[in-house]
This record gives sequence, C-alpha cells and structure tokens, in this order.
Amino acid sequence: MQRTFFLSFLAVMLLALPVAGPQATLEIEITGGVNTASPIAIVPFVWQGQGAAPATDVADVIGADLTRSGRFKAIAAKDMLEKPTQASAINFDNWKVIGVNNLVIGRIKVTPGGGYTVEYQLFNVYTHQQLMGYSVATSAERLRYTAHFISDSIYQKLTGQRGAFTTRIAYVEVGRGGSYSLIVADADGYGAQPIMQSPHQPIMSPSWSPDGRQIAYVSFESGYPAVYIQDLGTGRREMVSQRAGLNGAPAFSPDGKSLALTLSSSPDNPDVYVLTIATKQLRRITTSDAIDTEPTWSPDGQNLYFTSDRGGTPQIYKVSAQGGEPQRITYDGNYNADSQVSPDGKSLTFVHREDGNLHIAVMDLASGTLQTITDGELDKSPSFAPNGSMIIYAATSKNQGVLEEVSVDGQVHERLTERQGGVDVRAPVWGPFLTNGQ
Amino acid sequence: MQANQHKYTPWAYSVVLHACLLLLLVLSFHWTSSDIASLGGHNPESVVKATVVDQGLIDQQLAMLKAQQQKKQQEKQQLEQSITDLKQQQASNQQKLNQQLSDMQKQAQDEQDKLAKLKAEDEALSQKHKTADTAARRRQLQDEIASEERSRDARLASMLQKWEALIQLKIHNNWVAPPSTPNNLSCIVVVTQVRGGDVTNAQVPTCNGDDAVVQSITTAVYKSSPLPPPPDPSLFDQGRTLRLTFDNKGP
Repeated sequence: MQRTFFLSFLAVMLLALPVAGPQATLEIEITGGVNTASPIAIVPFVWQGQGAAPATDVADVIGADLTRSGRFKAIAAKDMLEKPTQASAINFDNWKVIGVNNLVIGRIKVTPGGGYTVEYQLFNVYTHQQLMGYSVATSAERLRYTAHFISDSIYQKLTGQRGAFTTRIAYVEVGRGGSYSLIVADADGYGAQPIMQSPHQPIMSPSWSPDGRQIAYVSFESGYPAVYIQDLGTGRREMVSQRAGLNGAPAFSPDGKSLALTLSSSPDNPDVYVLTIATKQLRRITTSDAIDTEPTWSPDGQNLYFTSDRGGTPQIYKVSAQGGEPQRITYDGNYNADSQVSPDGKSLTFVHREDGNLHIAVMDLASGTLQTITDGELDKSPSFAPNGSMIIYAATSKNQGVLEEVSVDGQVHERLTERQGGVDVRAPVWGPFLTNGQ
Repeated sequence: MQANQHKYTPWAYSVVLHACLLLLLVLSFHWTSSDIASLGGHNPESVVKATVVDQGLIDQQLAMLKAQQQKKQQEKQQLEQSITDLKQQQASNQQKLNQQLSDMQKQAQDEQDKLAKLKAEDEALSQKHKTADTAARRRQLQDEIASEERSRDARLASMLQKWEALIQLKIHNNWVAPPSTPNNLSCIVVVTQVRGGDVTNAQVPTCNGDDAVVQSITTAVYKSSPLPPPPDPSLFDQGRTLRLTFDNKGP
C-alpha cells in the first residue's frame, strides 16, 4: 500500500514539478516509512560468574519477546559475525553488513552476597550511539522476569510505546478427566501457576482487576454458577454473586470498584448488570427479552460493550454504564461476540464468524473498518495486551484448546506452550501493567 | 468462554445437581458455542436431534470444510502473488529509472559533444577575418549554442530531480516508522554528504515526534549511506547539503 502510494507520488513528482533551478540545498520529502519489523541483534549475554551459566538464556528470551511483538526481528546468534560483550569490542561495520538497526549486548555477574546483576546496553548501529545502558539486580529465579523487564525497556526506547513483556496472563485449563484449574502465567506462557482448582466443576471467564492483584471468575463448585473474586497475594477469595439462575461473565470496571456481569433469573433472558463490589449494590443495565451477555468496559469506564442477539444474530452493542438505549456496533457478518476494547479505547477485538469459521477480528471504532487477524477455525476469547500491541486468544489445534498471541496487525502469530495429554486451554485474559514489578 | 453460561436455565436446577456434565454438553450446543460454527454454521437443533449419524451429512460437511480450506489456500496464493507482483513492479520501476538515467547520461554526452563542436567552429570562425558570410554563420552558430545550452540546463534540472527521487527512494525503504509516529509528523533532517555519497552529518533541527521517531529517522538516513550518486557529477555541489522532510501523509 505504502509503496504503491509512494511510487505514484514519485511519478507525480517527476512529471508535475517545475524545473528547479540551481540551489544550495536539495529539498526532499520522505513520506511514510516501510511497514516491516526492524532488525535487531541481541548478542548472547556473557556469564561472568563461577560454575555453570544460568539455565535461562537472557538474550534468547529478549529476542523472542521482541520478535513476538511484530515490531522487531531478532536475528539468530549463528548469523552474527561477532559476539561482543563490551562496548569497546563492537565493530559496527559487522552489524551494518547484515542490515541490523540496533544492537544489544550484556553481561551477567554474581553480586557479592548472592544474587545476580545483569548489565545491558542498547546501540544504534548506524550512529554508534548508546541509546541505553542499565544494570539490574536480580537472582537466578528472577532471571526470566529480568529478561522480560529488559525487553520492556528496549521496546519502549525504540517504539515510544510501553512494553508489556513483564505482564501476566490468566486462563482456564481443563484436564483430561474434567478437572478445572485457573492458571496465572507470564505473558509468554512460562511460569504457569494454578491459583484455583476444581476437580469436577467448571471454572470460567476469568477477569483481571485493574491493579493486577485480583481475578474475578465464575465457578460451578457449589453446583450452581457463582462469581468469585480472588486475591492473588493471599489466595483469599470472596463470593460476590450467587443469585438464582445464571451468574456469569464478570468484568472489572477500570476503577476496580465494580463488576459488570451477566445475571438471569428467568429462562433464556440473561441481562447485563453492574455490581458495586463494596456494597454489593446491583444496577441493571439491559432489559431486553433477548440474550445480553459478555459485558466489557471502555477504558474510561463510561460505557459497556456486550453481545446481544436482540437483532436476530449475536452482535456487539454499546451502552452507557449508567444504562440507557444500547447502540449496535457490529454489522459485518452474522456472528460477532465476546468483545474487548483496546487500551486506547479506539478499537474493539471480538470473535467474528466468516465462512463458518471463528476468527479474531479488530475493528476501528471511528471508521467501523473490520480486519480479521487470525485464520484458525475456532479462535475465541480475544484479549488485548495492556499496551494494545498484541492480542492473546484461544485457538484449536488437533481438537485441543491452545493459546496463541498475534500482533494487532495480524503479521506475527505465536503459539504459547502446548500442553500434552489432552489438556485443554481456554479463556485467556491478558493482565494489566504492574506498577512496581511483582 | 464467557458466553457459555448465559442460557443456563432455571428449569434445569435439579438436573444441574445430578448431571452437571450433561448440562455442559447441552450448553456446548448453544448459539455462542464455536463447536457449531466449526460444522459450517448448521442449525444446532438439527445436530442435537439427530439420533442416527448420517454419513451423507458428514461427507457433505467434510466436503464443505475442504472447499473452505481450498478457498483459503487460494486466497493465500493470491496474496503471495500480489506481493510478488508488487516486488516485481518495484524492481521494474527501479530498472526503468536506471534506464532513463543512462539514456539521459548518453544524451547529455552527445549534447556536450555537439556543443563543444559548435563552440569550436565558432572559435575558428572568430579567428578568420570578418566577411558577411562568416558573420551570418557566427550569428547562426551562437543561436544554436544558446539553444543547446538551454536544453542542457533543462536536462540537468531533470537529472537533479531524478537524483532526488533516487535518494528519496533509498531513505524511504530504510525507514521503519515506530508506532508512536504522529499522523501529522513533520521532521526536518539536514544531511551533509561528501563525494561518493557518504553521509558525514545528519541533524534534526525540528521534529514533532518523540525520541523513538528521531532515532528511526536518523537510522534511516545513516543506513542509506552511501547515498546514490548524481546522474551527472556536476550536480553534486547542489546536493552536498540535503534538507529532508519526513512526514506521514501515506495511508
């Protein structure tokens, strides 16, 4: 697109511009860049301690993080012409020839008294300028987290956008025997920890609190669906809704004080409600005879988006968080459901049916333009990374639920660790930025 | 996932207690269930009610899935084809540009030769003693010389534009604009080059983008070093200093 535009622009310029007379300075306009991943080299970090190097390959983790974002392409270590570990040892020409724009080098040291220090530097290969140089205190156990932290800092420096590699995800795992676990893991799928297990009854619909300290979810452990809020630090939890009928699809408001959820006391007619967590006060938002469910908040907390079949097919609607007349948002196709608003409030991701397959779509809310960004058959439950650059979703591989991440432009897909032995993974939700690490 | 419970119905309360798994099975045939969608959007009711597995139906569905897969495959191929086409187009454009340049250079050489010849003849005539004939011939020659010089200047100006286009193309192709690039981007970069095209300096006096944008722009300029040489060496002095405007008017 950009190139075609550029070439036509070029043609117009060549034909139409008046003949320029001699001048001291040539004026040239460069319009739009190329839309490719920027090549970057993360040189393996040198281990400067005694004994065996740590199991975590820090450079490898950083490279995988940056590549997964779709903004960068980390080159393989085998393609590097040199592997410097000190700034003074860098020969920038060796990086120019292979077309790399930026270079990262680093060292892992043992801190006297235990623990590690990771030092790293980021360079511009063409200006030779050091863009960043930091030293991070860590430990063997936290080395992977530190690698994600470094990825965040590099990403922010080079893209002007906050990195989301240190954030976490939550999802539901279903074992072969029908046991359910609610899992919290790093954004790249590593470090998975069950925070709640239910041997026989379903767990569904996890939702992060905006501070990342709590997760709300639906559990059928009592035989009926009920909504719980669980504190990740203490493990303590509170049941916040067990009304007659359905209690489902909780979603924390951006201020963390309320939960939007789906309740239904009469058959086939669930509606969207907002529950004030502290007072347990309930506010009804929708009143249609149709199915209204899967509420989700706009980032400013002013509006709710939800799925409704009031028009005959499931579509996304928007309504004020105070209630009122809902407004239909999606019109493309006969199935659009399970939406989430991007962190900047400008776009919406949801499940979109096309040719009988379920894909993840992203819609620009201002223009209504819809773009399908996955091509699986059963892609569900999309959730934005807190910087809006990627989306995690549940896909199906060999009849088994797996988690995948895709850059919002649909360019880069990656499958997170696949479980063995018929374990099904579903309902992923991407957690918020953590203000002070974890 | 969030959708799978919303039709949970009160009449099933007693059933829930005794047959939770059965209930889940029923729920999985709900309109929000994607399992239905994988069967190509058939009415879920007909699936639930079917007691005998209909091989014909299965074959039909399989054929449908296959057809969908083929369609997807075709779309993918089309996309790849269009990318290849675009690349070829770009390559052929580059080739055209180069061809035009070499034609121009040849023409310029011919013109230069012709001009030299005209000037030499004029010079020779000026040495002879003046007659009406030589005066007329010289007037004619001087007209021709002036006309040739005008056309040479026009050609040089056109070559200068070509040179600009070459520089523009190279830098554009090396510029990866970060997501923080504002829509109304306007950055000026003043570039100094030496003969041979090596960039010796690039300053950004004004830019409404953040650090990441400025980095991307300086990287693009330095990565494009050496810059393409001018089609005619006499043009170099005009482009020793370049004033580049980076903007974001593209789609």
